[in-house]
Amino acid sequence: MSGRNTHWCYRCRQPVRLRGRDAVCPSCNSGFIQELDDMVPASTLDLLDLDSDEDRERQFRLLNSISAFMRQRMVDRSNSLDIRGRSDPVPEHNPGVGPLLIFGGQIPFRLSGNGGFEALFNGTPGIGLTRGNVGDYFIGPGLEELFEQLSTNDRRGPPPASRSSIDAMPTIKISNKHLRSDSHCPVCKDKFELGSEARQMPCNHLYHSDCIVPWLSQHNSCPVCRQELPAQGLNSTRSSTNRTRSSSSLGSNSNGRENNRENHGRRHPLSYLWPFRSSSSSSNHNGRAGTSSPAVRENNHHQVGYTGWPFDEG
Amino acid sequence: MTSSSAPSRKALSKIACNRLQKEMVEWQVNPPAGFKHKVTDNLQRWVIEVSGAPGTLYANEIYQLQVDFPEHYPMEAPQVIFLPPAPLHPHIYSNGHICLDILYDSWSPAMTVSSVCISILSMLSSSTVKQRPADNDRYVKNCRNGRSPKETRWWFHDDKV
Repeated sequence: MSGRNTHWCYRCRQPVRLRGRDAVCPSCNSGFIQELDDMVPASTLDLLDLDSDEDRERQFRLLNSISAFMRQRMVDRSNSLDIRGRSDPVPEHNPGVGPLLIFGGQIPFRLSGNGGFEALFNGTPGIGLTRGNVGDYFIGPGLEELFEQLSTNDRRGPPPASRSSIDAMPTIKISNKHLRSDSHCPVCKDKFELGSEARQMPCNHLYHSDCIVPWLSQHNSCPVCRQELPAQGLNSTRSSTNRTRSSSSLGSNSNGRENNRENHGRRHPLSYLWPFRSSSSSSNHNGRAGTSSPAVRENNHHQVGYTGWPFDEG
Repeated sequence: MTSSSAPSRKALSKIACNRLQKEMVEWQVNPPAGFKHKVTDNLQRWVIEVSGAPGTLYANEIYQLQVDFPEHYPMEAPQVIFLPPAPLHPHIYSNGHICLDILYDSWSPAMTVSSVCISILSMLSSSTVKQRPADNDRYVKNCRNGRSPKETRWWFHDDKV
């Protein structure tokens, strides 16, 4: 056992045996290595070896998820910029540019300022990707789990409302006046009872608490008109003026910023997986993408490149 | 258990049952024009007949929609597909999957089977050409093994049809 090669070095492209306890290749000192036991014979997983339909389908599903997800993100980004009128220096992303990909289950990576990606292996840049080099990408351990999670979790649609904004939603007593305009709860379709309690969204739509809270904790959107709950329990008028005022008024400045940031994060419930925004978010995704999958690929060819991407799903 | 094509079927929650019973009653009193639903004892799967609206490309054609409800309906959207043969439409795949945002990202728990049906008929009626989506073959191939359309990450780009 002790004399055998234990790891595969992706930079040297050869099996190596570790010296000491450092997880680096003994010949090139790169941390881009993987334990051989974790690896799966290339014939079954190699993206380029597509003789079976299964492989093709795997690849397709992967690319399908990647492309759709990336596009969704880019749209989210531009939407949030538009809607919130944010002036924070968020790096501009051109939605017309094809996605730039780099993945790694436990490999820190970040978006560099010019829109390219850098992956950091053991703290040293191991691979740098830029737009000029989009055919090169790395797919690391955990990717399958990542996409499994992306496609099975029902995280689509509007992001959740915050607990505090849900709690701040007023509870009202159903009066005759209410019954004339909103006789039924739009979610359960039951009749409101005179004198019973209901929750009122900022758009004045009424719901049973048990009907609206579970929905808002998944999606911040009025089921009837799609209006959002304002952030952090501010009522709608105050919060919108707050947002525009925050640059001039010193007192509300930090508050407004905080709200904005939090809100922004919530618009992208997957941001912990995709630290595109800044280097500050590159630290907390470890472990999220799982470690059980032995799927490791390195691919420097263009065969699975961009031309065939299913960008439009109808 | 009894059906094959539905995604992992968990029994309906009590909330879902109550809501669906109400919808069933409402449907019997006031069915959406152009639709027929034969009431069965299966609350979780409705098979609904759609008649193409007069004066549209689908006039005098009849199709079947299969609506499967998840455990936590209406917090989650129902799965709605056309049973074969699916109508020829730029947003309907030959496997019956329908590219319509309210069935996925834009679902809201205020929507009902009836409102979904009306949206689908409206989508059919506004079509100006009977053809499959451009990526039909690729998509359908990718969906073998009975994948649910709810697992697809749809990209909605067309608000005209």
